[in-house]
Amino acid sequence: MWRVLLNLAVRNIFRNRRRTILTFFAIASGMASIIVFGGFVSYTYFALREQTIHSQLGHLNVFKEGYSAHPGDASKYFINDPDKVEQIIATVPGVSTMTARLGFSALISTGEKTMNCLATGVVPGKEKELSNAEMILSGHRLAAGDTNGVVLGSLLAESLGVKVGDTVTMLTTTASGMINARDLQIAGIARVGSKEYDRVFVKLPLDVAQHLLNTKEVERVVVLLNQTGDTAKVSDTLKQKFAAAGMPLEIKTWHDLADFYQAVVRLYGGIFRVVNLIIAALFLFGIANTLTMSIFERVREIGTLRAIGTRRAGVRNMFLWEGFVMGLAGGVIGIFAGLITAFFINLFGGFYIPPPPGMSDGYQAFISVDPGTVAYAFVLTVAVATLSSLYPALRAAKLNIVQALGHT
Amino acid sequence: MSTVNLENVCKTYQSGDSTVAALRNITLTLHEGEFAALCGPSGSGKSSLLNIIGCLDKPTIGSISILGNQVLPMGDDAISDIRSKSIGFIFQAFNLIPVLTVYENIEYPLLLNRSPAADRRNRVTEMIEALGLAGMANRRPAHLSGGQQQRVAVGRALITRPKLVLADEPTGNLDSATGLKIIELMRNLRDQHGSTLLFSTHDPALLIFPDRIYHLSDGCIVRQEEVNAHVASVTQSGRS
Repeated sequence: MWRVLLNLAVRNIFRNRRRTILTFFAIASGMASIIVFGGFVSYTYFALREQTIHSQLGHLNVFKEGYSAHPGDASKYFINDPDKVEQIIATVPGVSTMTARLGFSALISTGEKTMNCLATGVVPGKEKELSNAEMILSGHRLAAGDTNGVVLGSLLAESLGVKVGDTVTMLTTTASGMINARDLQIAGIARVGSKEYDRVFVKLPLDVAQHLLNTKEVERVVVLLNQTGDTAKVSDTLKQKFAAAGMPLEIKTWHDLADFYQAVVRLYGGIFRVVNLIIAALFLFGIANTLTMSIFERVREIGTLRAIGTRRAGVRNMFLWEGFVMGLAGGVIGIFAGLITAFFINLFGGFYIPPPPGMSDGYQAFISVDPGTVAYAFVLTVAVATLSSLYPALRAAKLNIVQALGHT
Repeated sequence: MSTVNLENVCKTYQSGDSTVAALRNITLTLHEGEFAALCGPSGSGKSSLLNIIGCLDKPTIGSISILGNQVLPMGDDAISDIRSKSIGFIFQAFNLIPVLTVYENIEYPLLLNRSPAADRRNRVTEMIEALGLAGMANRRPAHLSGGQQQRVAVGRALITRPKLVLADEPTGNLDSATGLKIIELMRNLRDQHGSTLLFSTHDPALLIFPDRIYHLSDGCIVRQEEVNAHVASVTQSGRS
């Protein structure tokens, strides 16, 4: 019997072609919007994730055990044998590169002006793949031979009123609590994306940082992998290897440390859900309206179907089939519309997104069509279309037969 | 066994503040194979009576049994099943399903009754031949004349070989000659299938066909007339 009702439903859908085409167009454009917006969100996640990994965090950060639990006492939780740690990391498949870092807070001064800064001691020459977000505005990056150079954030340099080649003094406390200072020459001035970070950004050679802190230890070893998807697997392998070597270390993934990325995911995820809700509501009312109009035009016909023995459930199911088929057909058209739209947006170079709040640079967004989003949009479309037909279907099924047969 | 048995049936409708009596105290029995007509002017209650006999409506007072089943206590699905299996309907305005072809309109009641595909094919093809619609099986109702549409409606009503066929002014939208042919066709098919047939009309020219005529006025049966001997023999055997 369902085949008969499906057959009737399909034919009834195409009875008023103009209205049906308009309804399909509405469904398809809604679905295409979900696919394109979902593709934009997906691309943004991807781009931000890779930027986060390649600009600062790497995929994995290895610390001494207890480091993250004692944020105010970091210097007591430095790694004292970074070479051995790196040797173990180098044995794990999937690792692209690694580098040691030593982060600390300090004062930086020109003699006339003094500012707070967040300094990071790095191994010059091993940072290139982890410094994508640094755009050198003048001077150069730290190189292997730079024994006394320093790179400053552009806003910090502006606040201090310094330029490449000038000398600044960095003042900090050693690991044992003594005051230590050193003169450094500005090798480069960089913009680092985030305005807040730009105001405090300082990068200097690791051995200079160790000298300032009077230590041979490092804060962390940053690991970059060939594939982001291998993060969890490599993390587990490293944990096992460190445990086997008797080294009390802890590992944080990029996701654990990427607060900004997680905030963006939460924000965009919320916006995506709201957009879906709005589109679903438009579907709901659009299809319900089409089917309700269809009922008014077919009252006598519904009366006839009931008179010749079709049960109420049969009439109800016929309209549910109509909603389902509309969702199905509109959904298939919507997939093609979404894919074509995404293709042309990407073909013409994507579109520019202005800098988010607190960031200094915008980005060129593309549409990364995700099969999961397409499947989600399709299921949502068909489900909402079927749901939209529920009220008209129940209404049709409840029609009084005699009144329906007498309807003109 | 009687096909239809109505006892003291009344039907009232609410129209604004007033109550309108459509049927008053109708008692009526139709026997198996009987060909009967309801005759009377517009508003006399013909359609209301057919709706109640056809289980499309329920009486305000009174009882109705179809093929020995009391209808009033039944649920909607059970009543729908009686309509699909035991009652055929023919309407004045044909009421064909416009998106279905001639073949599919006639086949629909068999699909409702879940008849096997081969049986459906044979019966629908035979019916289309009997209706004189060969070659028009794939046409939609919009491409048929009024007489042809009513033939399809007759085919749809009789395809399940129902025990009872009801026709509400079946010739009302047809010219006289076509109307006569339709009634004749209904009677011939009734003869083949042995169904009880009741139709309503206010056209005296059609009253030469039925065995019995019920004259209605203001919702009452004011007179019943036996037209030929066939009904007498049926009535006799039904009562004995």
